[in-house]
Amino acid sequence: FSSKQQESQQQPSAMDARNMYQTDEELDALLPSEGYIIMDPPPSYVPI
Amino acid sequence: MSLAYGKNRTTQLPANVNRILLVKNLPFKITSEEIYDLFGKYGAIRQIRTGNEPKTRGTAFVVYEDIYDAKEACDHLQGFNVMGRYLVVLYYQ
Repeated sequence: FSSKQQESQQQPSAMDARNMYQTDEELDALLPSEGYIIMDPPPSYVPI
Repeated sequence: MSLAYGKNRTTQLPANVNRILLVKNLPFKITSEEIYDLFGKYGAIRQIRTGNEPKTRGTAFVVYEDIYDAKEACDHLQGFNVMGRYLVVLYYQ
């Protein structure tokens, strides 16, 4: 039972909480929409 | 293929590190291809908002999906020269 497996069974760490998916509404609440536009990704954009 | 060059993904990051980067001193005529290309190298981008009014022009919010990617981008793009202008990259609080 290697520690690697143990590590993955732990409850989510504080870092996971900071990495949770944010919906558009949550982003709208966080970021100013006045004076800013949401830029559409170019067709060539491939997220890595 | 992803450029996941030995990313350490478990360390605890300081509280000020954030997935949202406030970028200043951007050239006014930077295109979405250029900005997505420049910031996209460090990880998947969740959203980008650019200023389109005189007082917000030249600034942008770049939101990453992953906080470690945001840190990589912030560390590497701080003071980066884009078309003769040095970028200011801050964690958005």
